[in-house]
Amino acid sequence: MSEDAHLIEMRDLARTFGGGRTVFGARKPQLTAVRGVSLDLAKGETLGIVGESGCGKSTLARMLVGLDRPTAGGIRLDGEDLSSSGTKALARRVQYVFQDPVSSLNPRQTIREILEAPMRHLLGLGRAEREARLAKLIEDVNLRPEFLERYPHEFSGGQAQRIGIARALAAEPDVVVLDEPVSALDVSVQAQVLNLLDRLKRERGLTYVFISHDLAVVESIATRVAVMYFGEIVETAPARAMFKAPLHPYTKLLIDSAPVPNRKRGTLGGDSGELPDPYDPPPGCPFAARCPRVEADCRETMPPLETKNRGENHRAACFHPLTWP
Amino acid sequence: MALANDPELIIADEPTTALDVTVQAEVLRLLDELRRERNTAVLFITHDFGVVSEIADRVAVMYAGRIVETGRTEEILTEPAHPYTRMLIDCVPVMGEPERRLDAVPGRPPAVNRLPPGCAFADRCPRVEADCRSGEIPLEEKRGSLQARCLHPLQPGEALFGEVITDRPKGRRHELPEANASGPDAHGPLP
Ligand SMILES: Nc1ncnc2c1ncn2[C@@H]1O[C@H](COP(=O)(O)OP(=O)(O)OP(=O)(O)O)[C@@H](O)[C@H]1O
Ligand code: SF4
Ligand code: SF4
Ligand SMILES: [Mg+2]
Repeated sequence: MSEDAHLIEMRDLARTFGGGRTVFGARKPQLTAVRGVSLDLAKGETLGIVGESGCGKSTLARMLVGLDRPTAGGIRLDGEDLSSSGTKALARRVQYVFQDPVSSLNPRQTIREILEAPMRHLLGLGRAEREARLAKLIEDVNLRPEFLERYPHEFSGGQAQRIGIARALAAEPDVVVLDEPVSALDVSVQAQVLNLLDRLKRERGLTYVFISHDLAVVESIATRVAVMYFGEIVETAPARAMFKAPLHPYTKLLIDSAPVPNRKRGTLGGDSGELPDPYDPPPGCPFAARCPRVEADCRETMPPLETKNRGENHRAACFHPLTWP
Repeated sequence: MALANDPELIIADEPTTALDVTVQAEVLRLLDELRRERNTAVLFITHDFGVVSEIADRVAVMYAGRIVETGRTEEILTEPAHPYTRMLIDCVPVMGEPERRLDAVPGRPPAVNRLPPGCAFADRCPRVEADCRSGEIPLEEKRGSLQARCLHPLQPGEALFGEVITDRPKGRRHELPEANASGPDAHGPLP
């Protein structure tokens, strides 16, 4: 398949919470968690999504896997509009891995039951076929066959996350959306799961959406990165280009803020950390209050996500992007 | 952060772990300012080597309830003597080094109420030898500022498996098999 065959296309996706009226007719406050995201996912890539807490990463991910419906905009999978094909068709092709490995597994079911459910309900496989696939699946995630008869609480965090990954793969999806898959794990176990994801992707020709607030993890696993701020994508670029020379001042702030071993950083310029009020968003750039490059025009209109001088694949939503020598 | 009465010592237990990087950077900056201006000592507990670089003059690495290595920050981070320290550093991705191979630490720590005789790290250590499995292993001076609890410590530039590193290993990651072959609860309560 060619580079630009888009597996998934998101167009102007938005998700609003609250709103409407109370029984007495008063307006309820409305919060927009995701505001007009347009993003394509190419087959075989690992798209990293980074951004600070509350910027809308999980809300976007949940819409992508059909756990939540967009308030506006649409998602197309292989050109087919997902609002018409329903969630079952979507679930077979796009699966989700949760942040908290143990609590995302049903405590009353054995691992066998957990892994068999998608094979039965989404793939409609018979007993013999399920058995054969279970054996392969459990081996693929480096667990032993006798684990199938055990319950989730008997496993460590790293093992439980491998079961979570196996459950996602049981439906034979094309795309796996991983929402902070290693954030809850001990650092010594993170590498096991990252290495496993790397191998599974190669073996099964998967496409990943990898959400994390850990930039080092994202840099090590993603081929492309999208940075979210206040419900919007503010920059997207191939991973190497993004980390080497970001265009958006927010991306640079993130990179400069992440502590790196053996690097004593110079003094940071006292970031205010101030976010706009999500119930009353400003008309212009949502980063303006924190931005060292802000000018008058930034506060008037929202900068669109567009290419600058760095090729087709590097886009930023900024009127005064950074320049690099 | 709560700070009453001009303290002489601040113990900060993973104070920035749940924070966004920009907020974390701000908290670390404030803490650093505080200790410089008021000469306050800081005991900072973290699992993040980046944060360690940022804030610490000296580091103590703990394993199974004991300090297994201690020394100046730069020395510990670049050329540790204890195999556990080396493995812990090597399993974490570092920003700016996306090609770096991540080597997971196999297995899990022993339950602290069921420590084996000898070195508590022996079951997971690639340098383990017969003498590691008995007796008390003291925390001893090794080289430079480093003290370590290890009978076969690493020399500067020496890789875990004995060969000298000319360049950090690069390329494909490799995975370790499920380490504790006797099942998930073989080592007592799970971490
Ligand atoms: N079901 C909901 N009802 C109301 N508000 C919600 C709901 N889900 C999310 N939000 C709000 O939407 C915004 C985005 O939340 P989201 O969980 O997508 O952020 P996130 O980027 O995943 O954050 P984190 O890094 O903390 O996981 C937040 O302000 C959140 O409070
Ligand atoms: S548009 Fe203006 S305020 Fe927004 S990030 Fe760019 S320079 Fe800063
Ligand atoms: S004492 Fe032996 S087992 Fe323990 S860390 Fe040193 S070499 Fe490894
Ligand atoms: Mg989230």
